[in-house]
Amino acid sequence: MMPDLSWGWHLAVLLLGLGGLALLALASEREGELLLRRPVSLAHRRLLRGLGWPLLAWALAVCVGGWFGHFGTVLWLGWLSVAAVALVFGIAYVPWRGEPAGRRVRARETIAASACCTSAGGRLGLYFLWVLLVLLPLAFAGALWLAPVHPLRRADAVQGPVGPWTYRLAEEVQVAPEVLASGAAVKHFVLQLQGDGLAVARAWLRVQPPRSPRTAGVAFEGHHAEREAMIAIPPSATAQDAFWLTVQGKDGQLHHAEIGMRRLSPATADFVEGRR
Amino acid sequence: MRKNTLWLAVLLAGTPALAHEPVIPLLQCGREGMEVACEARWSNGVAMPGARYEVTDARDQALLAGVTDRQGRLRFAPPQGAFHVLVWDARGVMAEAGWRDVAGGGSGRE
Repeated sequence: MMPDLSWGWHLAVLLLGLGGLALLALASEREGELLLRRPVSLAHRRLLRGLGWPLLAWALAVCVGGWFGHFGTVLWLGWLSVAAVALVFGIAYVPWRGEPAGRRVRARETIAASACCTSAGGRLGLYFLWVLLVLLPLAFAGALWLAPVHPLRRADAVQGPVGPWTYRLAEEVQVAPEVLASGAAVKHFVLQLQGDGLAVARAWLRVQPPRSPRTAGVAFEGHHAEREAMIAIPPSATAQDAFWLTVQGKDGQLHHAEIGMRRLSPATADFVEGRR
Repeated sequence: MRKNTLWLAVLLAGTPALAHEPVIPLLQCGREGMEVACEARWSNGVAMPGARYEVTDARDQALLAGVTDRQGRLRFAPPQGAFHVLVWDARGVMAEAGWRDVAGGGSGRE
């Protein structure tokens, strides 16, 4: 699951991306002249380019540092797209400010003619595109704002020792187990093992104590910073039962942690009580 | 322009990426006459034919073993005492049902 970082991280990436792209725009021959209203010397263009690319790289580094390589790259591209759209339309309109009205009209006429927007349908399409371009970043920002807190960062996440590690375990969503079409109830959990992550071979979770190593439950999948598992809630489970976390080190040793059902997932405890 | 707008609208109307949902084996057992009948299915509802299973006692000692049929079913005469049915999918992921999980009441006695 994607780390849930504060809005400041997103803003930093957006501003760095916007800054980097703006510098690269200034470094280009056509846009540079348009924005600065004078020809840009080769030395200045090189300098601007030399400043722009590192800013984009910095934005990528912030993304990868905050959201890891996979999510970070996607977020970087997403925010760069938002910055690029803002910049493209900014460049298209900023130089016309303060210009004589006749020149502005002429420029618009040229664009309108070249963009085949003279017909009513074309104009309508253009307005539609404008509305979309305004709404898209707003919708993106809204979705980020409303995104749920990561389970491992919630206050209900349970933490404790298991062998040489410290576990942090949480239900993915604080709701009753999902009842499948077959009638089986399943529940999704997220685990983080703090400590020497490279020394962990595997981790399992189950309801009710394991009777042997091979009945340790369902193995977690993922990397040491975040592992996920979906486990079945047995029909015989009661609210007095516990979840059993088993972690095996690469030395072969097994370590167990018992977590009360109501402590880890009150919704599951209520669910099994209601089933009886 | 109209064509470009249409393409953009089609792209935006595309369905969002499907969420990743793990698939785990599940085992459900019920009493059928003098026997216990179990059905092994993945969590997406697909049956698990040819899956290896074991019926074990309370100390995890195997009492009988076999593979599920084409519908992912298995049946056996319940042993005396507590028992557990374990079934593994091809990845080695295990599903389990104890005598207390048998619908209609397992015949095992502790």
